[in-house]
Amino acid sequence: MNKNKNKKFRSLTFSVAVAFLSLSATVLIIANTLQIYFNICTQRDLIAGRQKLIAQEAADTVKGYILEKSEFLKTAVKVGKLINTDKSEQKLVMEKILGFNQAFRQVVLLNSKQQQILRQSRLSNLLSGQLTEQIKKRGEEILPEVLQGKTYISPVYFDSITSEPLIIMGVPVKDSLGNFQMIVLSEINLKFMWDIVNPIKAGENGRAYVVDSQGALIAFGDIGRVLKRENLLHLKEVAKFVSDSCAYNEGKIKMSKGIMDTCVATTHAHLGTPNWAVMVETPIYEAYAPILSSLNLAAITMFSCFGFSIVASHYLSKRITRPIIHLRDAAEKIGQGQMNTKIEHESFDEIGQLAEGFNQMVEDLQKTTVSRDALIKEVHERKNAEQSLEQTAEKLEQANQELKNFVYIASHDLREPLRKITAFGQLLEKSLGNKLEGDDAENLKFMVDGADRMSQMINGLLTYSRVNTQSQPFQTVDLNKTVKELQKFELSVVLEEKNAWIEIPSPLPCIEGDPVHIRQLIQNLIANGIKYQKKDSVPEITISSKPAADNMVRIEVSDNGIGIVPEYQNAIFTMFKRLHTRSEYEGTGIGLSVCKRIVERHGGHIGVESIPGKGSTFWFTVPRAKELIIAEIS
Amino acid sequence: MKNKQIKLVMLLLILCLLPNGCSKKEKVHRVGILCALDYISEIPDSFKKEMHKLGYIEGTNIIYDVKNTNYEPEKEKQILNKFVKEKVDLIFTFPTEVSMDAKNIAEGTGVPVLFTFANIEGTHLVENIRCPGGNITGCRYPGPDLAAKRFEILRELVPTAKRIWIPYQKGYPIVTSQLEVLYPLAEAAGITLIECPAANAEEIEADLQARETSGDPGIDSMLIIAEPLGVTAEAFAVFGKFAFEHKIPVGGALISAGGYDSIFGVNVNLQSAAKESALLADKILRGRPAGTLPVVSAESFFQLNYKAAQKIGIHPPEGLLSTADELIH
Repeated sequence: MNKNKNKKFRSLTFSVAVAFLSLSATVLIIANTLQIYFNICTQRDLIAGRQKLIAQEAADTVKGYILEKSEFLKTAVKVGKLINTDKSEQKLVMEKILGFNQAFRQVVLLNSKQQQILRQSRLSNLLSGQLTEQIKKRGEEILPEVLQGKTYISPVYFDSITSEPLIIMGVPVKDSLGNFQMIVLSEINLKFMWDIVNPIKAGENGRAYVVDSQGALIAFGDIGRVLKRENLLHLKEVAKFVSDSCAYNEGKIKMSKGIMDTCVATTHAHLGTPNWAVMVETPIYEAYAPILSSLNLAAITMFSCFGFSIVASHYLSKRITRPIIHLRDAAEKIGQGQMNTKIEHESFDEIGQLAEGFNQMVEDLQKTTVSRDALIKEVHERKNAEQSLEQTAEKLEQANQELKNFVYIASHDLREPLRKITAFGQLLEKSLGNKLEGDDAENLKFMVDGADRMSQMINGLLTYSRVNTQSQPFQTVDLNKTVKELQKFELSVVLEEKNAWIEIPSPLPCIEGDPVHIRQLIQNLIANGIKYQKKDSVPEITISSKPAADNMVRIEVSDNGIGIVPEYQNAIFTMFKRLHTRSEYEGTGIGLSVCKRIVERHGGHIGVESIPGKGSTFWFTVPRAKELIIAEIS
Repeated sequence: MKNKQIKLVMLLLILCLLPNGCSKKEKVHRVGILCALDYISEIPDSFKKEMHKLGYIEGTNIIYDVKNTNYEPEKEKQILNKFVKEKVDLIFTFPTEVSMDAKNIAEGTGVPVLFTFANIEGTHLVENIRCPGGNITGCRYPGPDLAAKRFEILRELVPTAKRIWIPYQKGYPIVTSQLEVLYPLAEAAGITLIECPAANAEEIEADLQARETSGDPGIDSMLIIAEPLGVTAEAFAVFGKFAFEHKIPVGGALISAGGYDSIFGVNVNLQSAAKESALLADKILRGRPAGTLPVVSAESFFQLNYKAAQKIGIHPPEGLLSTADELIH
């Protein structure tokens, strides 16, 4: 418990929310990543395909441009009269070639030995020299090509003044038998190709350009860069083409630095003849726009879903933990004693059932608590009553004690003056003797008798009060011995006077009690048996014992006296209760009250069974001697 | 509470206006165009059309200040100074001499110069074609080559001509480079070149008048080279009339004035030159330094006035007819 107290509180709501969120995020990320991956693959192939298509179309256009020139030259040499004709005819053919298209800058007619027969130019003769130099330079490669009947196309070279890219195109001139006779070479200005390359678009901002087999830029929208004779070998795609122009272009899109020094998706298409390539570049942001768009969409979707997950996780965690929190709060409230607390629940699932169970438990607990409270209240009331009773008993005891004290003090203090009255009364009776007459003597006698009776009564009261005030500790009392001592001392006179005899059929038991009081008790009962006798009857007293419940013993003192009528049998134990006049039987009416008090002090009971005229049996119960009890147990 | 609401509304308004306020306003470019030759006065319009194609809408994102002169050096300098003072975004000038003036005046001012129809040979207009240097670029006029080509065509049309009369603006800078090309060709062909440097049409008239009065004009053909005087209507009317009266073929630049026509012209295609110039202007206006843009070469354009040739009894050969880019008949 203490260990748990030391642990930091971890919110279940938070844990559930985090768990749900983590799960959602994981699923989202995996799903989106897969989607993005496959999307990128698909889009990349699409972009590559589209770009390759554009490049191929551009290559076809450029190739078509060159082929057109080639075909025209071939047709012109076939149709025109160049063999076995004069120069003017040849010149006309060449001028017609020049006139066909501005791209034909110069036309040169060579004989089979590659010697120049004629030259026609759109330029002045001043600028025609470069072609001658090129023909000389490339003479060895021209003839083999042309002899095979092919169209010769030279590598690109640049005009020394204008920096415009040029090529030489050569076709054979054959006679009717197909024999090679001459060569027609034409210098073609590639600047006129720019107009067909420039409009080639690769997307919105894509570019197309043409490079030769050396990587030289020969056609591009920004003609300034062509005029600068830029070589683009530093571009990966160009370098790839230059290094292996025959390699199959697998059509995969590549990202690299483009002609504008920006990152582009690039591909190329090889023309074949001439050995050029059309490069197509699309800015990476444009090429991958669909991918970016798809990424954006995926990101938006993911973030939306994530947002939804947050809301959902919050909602679900709250929904799951709210009843639990209610349970916790309710438990706390119940712990604080608010037993009327109840959990409000909306769901009817396991949590709802738990809440229901909790409510039921609280209800039961409430009932139990009510019972307990009632019990506590009752106990409390009883305690109060007991306390009140104790207080009353205490007060009563106190009052009783005060009364006892009063009785004792009164009887003790009254005895002295009364003794004086009795003594002086008796002295007076003796001194006066016969001097008194009539009523005076009788009055004096009454006075002495009264004082004597009062003295007896006071003694009786004193005895009665001494039962409680002058008691001894309980001890084993042998009743046989007690009776014998009574016969010997206190009752010897009266036994003798009345000729009474005491019979003890079987030995009496030892009891636990105050020996003085027990002696007084037995003395009173025996004396009563002797006193209340029919005239001339010999008192016979029988003392016997019987075991009683609760380790008590019942002692019975039977007599053969006058007996007691049943209606007075209970009243005889009341103080000062007398059934007979003084003239019939002497007495103060205190003796049985003293007996009763002694028996009660010993925890026993006293009673009488009597048949008027035949005798009475006074019985009482007292505790057996402890020694006897122990002996029996052992 | 009210204050809070007002603040919120104001904040929203500011946020709404912020993008507009912060967005870059499209710049309105100002281009000063100085056409210093009537003969090529169609270039500005062609240039504007090409610029329009490139997205420059006059009055919207571009303003042209077009000035026309006809070889008036002082006025031209004033105009160029004005352009520089006004810090135009581009000075577009043509032909050669005014382009040279523009280069000098704009040098160090940061105002780029774009030329067309200007001869770069012998004028020091640019350092070289591939990298012009300074803050200038343009569309080259191949003056010497065209002069040679004109000479060659004239010879082909009039093979018998041994004396070729060449009028030109006295002191015009590019004349020398053309004459330097022509003299060797003429010499090789056994032809005499007769120069007629003049300040204006009157001086040309005086020269021709003197030939008239001498009884023999001493001219077999007339060649117009690339310079401003020969292509003015006044000057051409003078020597066109003289040529017609004496059945002397006139060629070099295609021109009609006073009811007289030249029989051919070899020039650059003005529309092509305007287009090339517009492409360069676009790059300059987009911030590319003019000096780094290679000079482009305008393509030559051969026009043959077959009708005019026939009037004076010249029958152009089939080959010339074939190579002519434009045949007037």
